[in-house]
Order: sequence, then C-alpha cells, then structure tokens
Amino acid sequence: MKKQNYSVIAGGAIVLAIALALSGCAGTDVVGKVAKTSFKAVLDASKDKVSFSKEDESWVLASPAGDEVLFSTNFARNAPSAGGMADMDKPDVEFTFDAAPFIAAGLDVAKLPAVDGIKYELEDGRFMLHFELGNDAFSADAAKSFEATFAEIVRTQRARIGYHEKLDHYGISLGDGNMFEWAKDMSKNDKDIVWVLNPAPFIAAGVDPAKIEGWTFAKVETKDAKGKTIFVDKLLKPFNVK
Amino acid sequence: MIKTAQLRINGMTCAACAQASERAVKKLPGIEEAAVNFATEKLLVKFEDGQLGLAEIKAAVAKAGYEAVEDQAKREVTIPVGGMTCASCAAAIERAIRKLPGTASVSVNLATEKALVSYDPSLLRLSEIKQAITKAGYTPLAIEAGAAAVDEHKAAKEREIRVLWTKFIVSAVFSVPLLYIAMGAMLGWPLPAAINAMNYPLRYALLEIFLVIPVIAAGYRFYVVGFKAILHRSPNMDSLIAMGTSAAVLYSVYSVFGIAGGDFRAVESLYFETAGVIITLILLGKSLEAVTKGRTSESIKKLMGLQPKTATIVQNGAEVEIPIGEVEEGDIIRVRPGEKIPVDGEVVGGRTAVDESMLTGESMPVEKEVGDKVIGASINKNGSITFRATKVGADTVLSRIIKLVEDAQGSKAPIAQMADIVSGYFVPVVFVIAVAAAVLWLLLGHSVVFALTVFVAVLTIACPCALGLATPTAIMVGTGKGAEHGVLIKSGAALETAHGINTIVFDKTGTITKGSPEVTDIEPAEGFRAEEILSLAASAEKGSEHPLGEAIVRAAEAKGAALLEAENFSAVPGYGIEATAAGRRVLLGNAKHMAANGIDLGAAAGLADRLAGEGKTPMYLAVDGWYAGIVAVADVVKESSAKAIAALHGMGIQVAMITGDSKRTAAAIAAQVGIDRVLAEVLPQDKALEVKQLQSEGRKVAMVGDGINDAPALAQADIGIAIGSGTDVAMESADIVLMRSDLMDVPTAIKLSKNVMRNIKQNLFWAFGYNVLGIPVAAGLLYAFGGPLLNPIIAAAAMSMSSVSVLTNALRLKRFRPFN
Repeated sequence: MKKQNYSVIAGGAIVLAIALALSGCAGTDVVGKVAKTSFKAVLDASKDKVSFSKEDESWVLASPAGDEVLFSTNFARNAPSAGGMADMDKPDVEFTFDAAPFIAAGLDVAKLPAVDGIKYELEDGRFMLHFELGNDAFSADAAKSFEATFAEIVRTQRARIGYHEKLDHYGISLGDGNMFEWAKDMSKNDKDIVWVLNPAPFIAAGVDPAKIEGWTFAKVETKDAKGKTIFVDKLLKPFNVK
Repeated sequence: MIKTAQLRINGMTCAACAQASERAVKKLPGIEEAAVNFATEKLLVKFEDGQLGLAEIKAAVAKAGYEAVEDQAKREVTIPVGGMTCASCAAAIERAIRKLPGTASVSVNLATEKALVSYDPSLLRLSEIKQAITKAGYTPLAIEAGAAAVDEHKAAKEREIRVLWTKFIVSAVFSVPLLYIAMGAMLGWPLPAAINAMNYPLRYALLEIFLVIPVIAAGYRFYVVGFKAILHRSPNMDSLIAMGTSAAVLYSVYSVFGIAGGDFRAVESLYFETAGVIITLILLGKSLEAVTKGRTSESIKKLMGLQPKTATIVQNGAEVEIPIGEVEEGDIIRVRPGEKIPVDGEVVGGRTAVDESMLTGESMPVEKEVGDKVIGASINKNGSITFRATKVGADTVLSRIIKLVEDAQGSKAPIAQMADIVSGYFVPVVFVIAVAAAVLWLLLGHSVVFALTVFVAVLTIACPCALGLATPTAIMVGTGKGAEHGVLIKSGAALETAHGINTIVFDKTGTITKGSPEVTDIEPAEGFRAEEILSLAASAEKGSEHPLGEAIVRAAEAKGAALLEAENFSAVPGYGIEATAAGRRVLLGNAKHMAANGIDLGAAAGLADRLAGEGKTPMYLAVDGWYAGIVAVADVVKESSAKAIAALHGMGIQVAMITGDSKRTAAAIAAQVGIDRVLAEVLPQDKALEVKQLQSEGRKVAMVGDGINDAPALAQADIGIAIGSGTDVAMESADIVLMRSDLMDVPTAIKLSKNVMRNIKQNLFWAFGYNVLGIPVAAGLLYAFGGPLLNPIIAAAAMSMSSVSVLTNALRLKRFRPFN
C-alpha cells in the first residue's frame, strides 16, 4: 500500500478517535448543562410554589392556578420486581390538574386508552397523569433539593432532555408525546413553563380538544427523534411564574 | 527623406492604450504615418528624417504614459509553469514578468501551462524571470528540450494528477460523512443519538469541525495561493474559493462559540459541510481537468515520442549504438527493417521503403534508394540501409514540426483577447457582486445566514477557469490534430483567420500540377511508328538538361524504347535541338525551328494547335529532313486537384489559379480542375500584387504555393499555405504548412480551422453563458421572484463541471477527420 493511502487511513482514524472521545465527553453536553441552570432559574422564580411531598417522596412545582407537577426523588423506588410492572401509583413524574374542562369537553374516563408507562387517574375532580420514566437509582443527595433531584434526572434520563428551538424551551419528554417544558431564559420568554399533552388519548375518550377550557389545542413545530422537523397536534398549557 | 522605424511599446494593457500612444505620435510634426499594433506591441512609424528623430517619438510615447524602445537582440524562452488554476493565474504571471525591465513580450498559456517570454538578455536574466514567477506564487519548472523534456513533463503531469486525486480522496472521505451528518440532521437520516444536533449541538458542531479540518488541509493550496494572490492584487479562482469557504468556515466557528455559550439555535448556522463539499468538488473538478487537459496535448506528445532514443552509427566498419543526442552531422547510420530512422539524412547504401505517415500523413510507404532523403522518426519497412546524417538535434524535420506546433499551441488567437480582458477584471468584479448581493439581502431584512449563503454561492459559482481554457484548449487539440494529418498550423491567429477565408489562390506549377512535365501525346506522321519517334526524340534529348527533354527521356525509359547513341548535339535557344542518332539527323522543337530548317509540316499545325489548346506543349520531330510526328509534353494536374477544388467550392470558397503560363494554357488547366478565376501570365514577382488586388476587392485570401518562389505572395495573403515536404522556406513564409503535396489537405486545413473556431465559440458561449446565468442566480435573482436560492454546494459542483465541460468539448476535436 502506498504511503499516501496510509496517511489517509491514519488521518481518518485520528478524526474518528477524536469524534468518539467527544461523544463521551460530558463537558460537551451544553444542553444538559444549560437545562439544569435554566430549570434552577425557574425554581428560583417560583420559590413559594416549590414544595416537597413526603407522601409522594417528590418535589412539587405548583402553578399559580394550582396545577402541579411532581418529580420523584428517586426513580428506582418503584422499580418493578423481576419481570413485573412498575408501580404506577408511585410515578416518576406526575401532572395534577383540574379535570372539569376535560369532562366538559366530553371526556369519558373509561374510554381513555391504556398507554405503556402512563396512568390516568381521576380523583376529587382532579386529573392525575402518572409517568414512568425509568428505574435508575439517584444519588443519596438527590432528595436534598429540587435542583439536586433535577440534576439526577438529567444524569439518568439525558436522552429525554431536549431543546425546543421554536419556543426556546428545554423540555423533558414524558413519553407518548407528553412533555414538561420550561423557558431557557425567562426574561426573554412569555411562557415560563408549558405542559404539553398528547391529545390523541383524550380525543379517543370523547374529548373535543378545541373545547378544553384553559388549554390550547395547536399544531406545534418540533423535531422527531431523528431530528427531522415535524408538526404535531398538542394540548398546551402555559404558565407564567413571574 | 522619409524614414521607417519600428519601436516596441511597453506598458500597454488594452486597445485604448494603443490608440493613445498612436495619437501621441501622430500629433508630432513630420509624421507621415504611425500605427500601433496592440497585439504585437509595436509602433510602425514613417517620418521625415530631417524634421524628426526617434528620440522625439520616444518622448511623445513616454508623455502618453508608455515606453517606446528600439527592438534589440531578443531571446525567447518557454518556461513550464506549475500551480496555475485559472486564466487569472496566467494574467498574474504575465503581469509579474512584464514588470521586469528587459521583457519584450510575455504570453502565458493556461492550457499548455507554459510562459513564452521574449526578453533582452543584456537587461534580464532567465533566473530573474523565474524568480518573478515564484514571487507571484507559482512554480517555474525545468526548461529542457527533447525526449528528456517529454519524459520529465509527463512524469510531472502524472505526479500532479496523482496528488490531486489523493487530495480529492482525502477530501471526499471526510466530506461525505460531514455532508451526511449535516443533511441527516435536516432530513432525518439515521444518526447516533450521541451526536443529535438538538440534544448535543456542541458535540455535533465539534464533530463537524474535526471532519472539515482534513478537507481544508487537502485544499490548503486554494488558501495559500488564493490569499497570496489577493495580497499581490491579482486575485484568481483560488481567491474566490478561499474567500467563499473561509467565510463559511469562520461564520460556522462563530456559531460554534454561540452554541458553547448556550445559543443552541446557532446549530442551524453551521456551514462546515458547505465549505468541505465545495473544496471536495473543486478538487474533483481540478483532478478531472488535469486528466482532460493532459489529453489535449496528446498529439504533441505523440510527435515528441516518435524520435528514437538511440542510433546505430558505423565507425571504422563497426556498428556502435549511441544516444540520439550524440549523433553528429556526417555520421553514417545503419537502420534495419522495422527500426526508426533516427535523424534526417541521405541514403548512401541499400534500398528500402519508408513509412513517413507519422510525419506527412501519407499512408503509402515511400521507396528510398541511394541519394534519396530520409526523415528522422519515419519507419524503415523492409530493407537495411545506411545513410549520412544531414540534420540532427533541433534541425531535423521532426524537431522543427514539434517547435512549430508547440509555438502554435502556445500562441493566442485574437478571439482569446476578449476572454483575456474579461478574465483580468473577473475576480474583483465577482467579489464586488458577492458583497453587494449579500449586503442587499441583509438590508432587505434577510438573516445573516441567508446573506452568507448568497455570498458564498456567488464566489463559488463564478468560474474564470472555463473562460481561460475556452480558446487555448481548442487550439491545442486542433493544431495537434492537424499535425497528425500533416497539416501544420503555425499560430492561433492563422487558425482563426483561415476559417474566414472566402478566396483561395493556387499557384499552378507544383501545386495544382505535379510540377514535373510528362509526355502526354505521341502523334507519329504517316510512315513512322510512335515507339520509333519517341526513341529518336529521347535519343536526341539524352544529354539535355531541359525539363521538357528530361520528360521525353523518362517516357522512353518507362516505355522501354531504345535509347540510341547520339552525336553532334546542338541546342538552339527558343527553337529546339538538333542531333544525329543512329546515323539519322533528328530535329526536335517548335514550328519556328522546323521552318528554319525547311521542314514541311503539312497539316500538323492544326494538331499542334489542338494540343496547345489543352494546355500541352507540342514539339515537332523531323527525321532526315522529313516531318516525323509530334511529341506533346505537359505538366499534368495532380489526381487530387479537381477533388480538392470541388471540396472548396462545397465550402463556398472561390478558387483562383495564378501562373506565369499563357492565358490559353492556364485556361486549359483551369477547365480541367474547375478553377473559377484564372490569373495568367503573372511574373513571379507580381504574384503578391495579384493577391493584394483580390484583397482590395474585400476578399479574405489564402495563397497556396510550394513556398519556393511564392514567398512574397504567401506573406501578402491573409493566410499563406505552403504545400509539400516542409522546406525551410515554406516553414518560414507560410501560416499553414502542408507536409504532403496532396491538394486535399487544403480543404482539410480550412475544415479544421472552421471546426476549431466553432469549438472555440461554443466554449466561449458556455463559459460566458455559464457565468452570466450562474452569478445572478447565485446572487438570489430567482429567489427574488419566488424561485429557489442556489445552494453553494450546487454552485461548486456547477463550477467544477464548467471547466470539465469546456475541456470535454475541446476534446471532441480529436474526432476530426480529414477530407479524404
């Protein structure tokens, strides 16, 4: 083989090695890093809305309207026994909100389809969506603060953390098209937090998505798992914490 | 007293300069006539000697801003130059050399990659010219001659092609994944999650940087040469590539900083793949261009490769093989069957047939025996011969043909001037358009990314290389193809002029006719036989050196007629001859000769009149006081003459014949071959005037002659075509030299010229059209009207293909077929 060919192969190998090294380098994960700092900013701005639920072993972030999102301090707590299902009564993430607008829009809870990793619950006029994200054990310090819990979520569920370019939001994918999003920079964004629900199960359960009071039914530009731009139907509920 | 002088004008860059200096000289008192030729950079001036001197004329030219110098002893050198990529490079080298004091003229040919420099050795050294080339950013290569140069040049070209391919492969190896990653992010192609542009934008961007670095390294030359050229204020194609891709890379690097700072939207502003793919495509284009360009000079390489490397000389009875460069004039050389004849010479022993087709295009082997001339590089077919070397080294026919074709290929046709002028302004103008378009789009409210796309696309699509290659490549292939068929065209200008010829003047003797008289008719009187009178006439003429007498002797020998002993030979100038053969008194001559000797011709005068009317020369023969018959001799027309003239008529060309013969004889020959116009009874010295007369009728005239006594007419004609064997005189005085005596090569030369010119026009059309259409599209013209915006990658692909398409079109000339 000629000298030049060796050079080409050597050059290619070096570049490949650098690329692989980069892939594994956490320092290059700017999205993960900024996701944490921006979420902390949201928490700082929502101080009186942040609490800890001992019963649920979760951090709670409430909205001005009383809707809540809960983040478990340890995703391993509901790990399924060998071969079993996760305990959906101890969700990793939970949305709690007023069910009345959905019922008024035609919701028949019995008709909500079963979706793997998601549990729908109606109790005392409140709708609860339980999401199972994973079974990774968090560090012992994770429960010390919301930020610490969130840092563990980013560490263990990094693939679920993404940047929504159109809204300049970060978000956690909760499965089946449901998201929890927050502003990268609240000072430049009029939507500090946005809950994003997949309307399909509700539509299947008889809901007219356009008639849900307090929620917006819209087509949202986003990217699929491969990075391709797509437009999808979503139910959106924005919050301004400021 | 009116004095004529020729001065060289330095410092002219365009036709306007020529006019300015001409006006300055014409204003001087005592100027009779002044004409400045921009192409030759010469001032031809006629002035009143007592009233005006050369010093005043020089001062007037200097006042106009130029320099007039008297022509000095000049030296010409052809320097191969490496590293040129476009017409702007050629222009930059020309400028660099022209600046040197002592440079008379310089012409850099992009296609041949050679600089032809004429300079005054007392003012300038070759090394200084080479230094100027190096300083301009290019590489002067070794100047060598002969076969060694061919090998060296070939090796250098092969090396260049190999390096270009390697660079392209390196570039492609990294550009393909780079393009895949970039496009994949947009189009949703499968990509590892770890480099997902939205989730890991910094990794994604850094990976792109690492992939683009080897590509930039492969194309580093664009940056080195391109920016150097900008510093020298002579930007070229490399400058455009360097600026375009640098802008893309720098903006992308800026975006990477943005990503690192948390501006993840900047991931959409990465243009590394644009820069990478542009470089890759340009490298591909350059590689293809190098391969294709090599093919344009195949003909000359073929000619150069004809010369054998060794010769077997006979020394003291022994045969010694020596290198061809050591053969000296006078050496006796042995050539065996199948071997090549090494140099020109004259056969001193043996007999053979020689294949000269590679030099003359003549397909039939030519018989050679003692006394015949042989040409170096021809092939000895079947006999072993020895010959004396008469021409060696640069003096051989092959060397002169090569020099002639090389000079022609290095010369520029007038049509190339327009492309040269455009090329000179091209790059700065394109840069201004690119900046203007980008700024305009920004002002119209478009994003920086959009403006950058426009900027890079304009710089990338603009292609001065296609413009620079359009003319010289066609000339190279055309002149090379001509040489293969024995049609040597001495310059690009001749090639261009030849296509517009509408009148061709043929010299008669040796051109339309064979040039050596032959016996055409033998008409015996009653009581005599044809063989008998031929035998008697030939016997009487045996000692004659008159061409007519020689023709009769040749005819008798050919027919096997007996040649008798003759005595008492006497010649009466203007009448004929008298001799005694086998005891019989023989008279041979014209009617006056017969009358003077009291011979009664009876009704033979009528027969003689008819023969004369056919363009023949009738000679009466009288034996022992009685009329014995007529032997007619004529210079017969060549087999191909009528066919060639018909072919010229088919091209719409009027054909004239010029001769010193009587109108009657000339008319007879003209009728045989289909001549339109006869110029008879013209003295050799008046032939040029006749050509001038035709030109004054507004005709573009080509003169075809054997180059021996037609030199003034060949020079006067718009195109001088010398026919047959390439004598020194012909080579000097003609614009086109036909190696064979076949008249069919004349329409072949005209057809070749027309084909080459058509090809050049096609090339220029595509090269200009490509830029005229491409630049506005790249600037966003279509987008402004709702159409698409040109992607810089597509622009780079189009640019690369433009040069290749021009070269490929020029190579179509290789399919040229001669008329017969």
